[in-house]
Amino acid sequence: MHTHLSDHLSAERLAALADDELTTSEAAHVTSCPPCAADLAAHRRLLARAREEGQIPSVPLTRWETLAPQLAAAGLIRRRALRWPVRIAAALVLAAGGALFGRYTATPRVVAQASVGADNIDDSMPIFRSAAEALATLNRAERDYRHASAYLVAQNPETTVSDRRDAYRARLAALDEVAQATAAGLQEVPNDPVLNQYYLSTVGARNATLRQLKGALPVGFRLERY
Amino acid sequence: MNTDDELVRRAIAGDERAMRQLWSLHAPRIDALVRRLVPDPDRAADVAQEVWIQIFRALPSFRGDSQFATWAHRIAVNGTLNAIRRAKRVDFAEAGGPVQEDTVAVEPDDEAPFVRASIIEAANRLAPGARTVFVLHDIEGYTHEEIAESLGITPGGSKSQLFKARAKLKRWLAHLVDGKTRDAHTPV
Repeated sequence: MHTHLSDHLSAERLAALADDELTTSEAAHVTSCPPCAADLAAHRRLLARAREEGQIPSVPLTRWETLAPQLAAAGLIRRRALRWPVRIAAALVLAAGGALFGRYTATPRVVAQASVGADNIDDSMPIFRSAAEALATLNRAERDYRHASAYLVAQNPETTVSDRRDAYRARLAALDEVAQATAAGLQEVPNDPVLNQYYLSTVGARNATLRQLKGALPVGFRLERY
Repeated sequence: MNTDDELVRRAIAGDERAMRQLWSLHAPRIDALVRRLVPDPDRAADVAQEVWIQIFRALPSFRGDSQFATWAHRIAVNGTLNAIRRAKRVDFAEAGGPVQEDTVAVEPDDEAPFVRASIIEAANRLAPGARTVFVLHDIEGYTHEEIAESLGITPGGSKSQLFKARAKLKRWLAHLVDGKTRDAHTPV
């Protein structure tokens, strides 16, 4: 019973009363005891602010770009199977890129041997004297490949505009996956030249394909999603 | 079928766009919970990532009896508590623990956002078990029965930890929540 001013409510009981009902005797005490009334009010203010805090969202701690590769590795994200023309195109790009990167990453000894035996090498085989030269060649090859692919698609009389749009969409989906995978790899090894080049090439190819897809849309249509 | 149900259905099938949308809709609350329970920012980011993988892994068991937000929040609570247990081997049954008894260094201010931030800062100085009960009950709105089940303690134990935590917080934050200056009050 807390009927006398000297019988203050304990600190823990006051804390409990922040969201609990006072007994009759406690209510009588609090009414006549300003210190206990003030403590109880303070507890209720504290609880009200804590409850408000629970309703306030915060900036996420996670990033989808980091989370998605882990979900994919766990088999929770199921990638759509690529259509066979896209698979072939992807294989060609990877093979061409791989060959060029192989040369780029070759040791100086190998390059030197190639220079010595240059007379015996087909004229079409490039010989690089620096990484910058190799990268410039790679960028040219990638650009030429894109243009050649676009030309072949455009010249194919059996390819309708609708087919081209489908092809562009399928390519964009594939490029998105490659960009995501290389971006995830770059988070592990930010300075890796091979991953960097693949990432930049993929983003470049993606932008070019987006432009092509926009060009294949009927007049007056805007591309909002693909 | 509401938006979440449709997204859940597609996410279970492995549709990345649906999963991303679910994450985008619910990460602000789920990640806020992890941040409140795990004060260290780097550790909190790791735990939040683990929690999201657990949520997506458990999606097929979501029956739609409750809101997706409620279901995911519960998984986040348990996932975070498990991560804390693994990392620090906290004994949640233990009420006490070393805490600093000085007041939290904050400037007097009546602004609600400032008081809320001060509460979080002060709660981070509670013993881990007391902090967990305070965050889950007073901030996240769980009942003592739910908290007891998650922590493997009794509802009475949960209440005891909460009241001690509130009493400490009220003492530390007296300059922010007390209505007026008055003489010292010695409870029995």
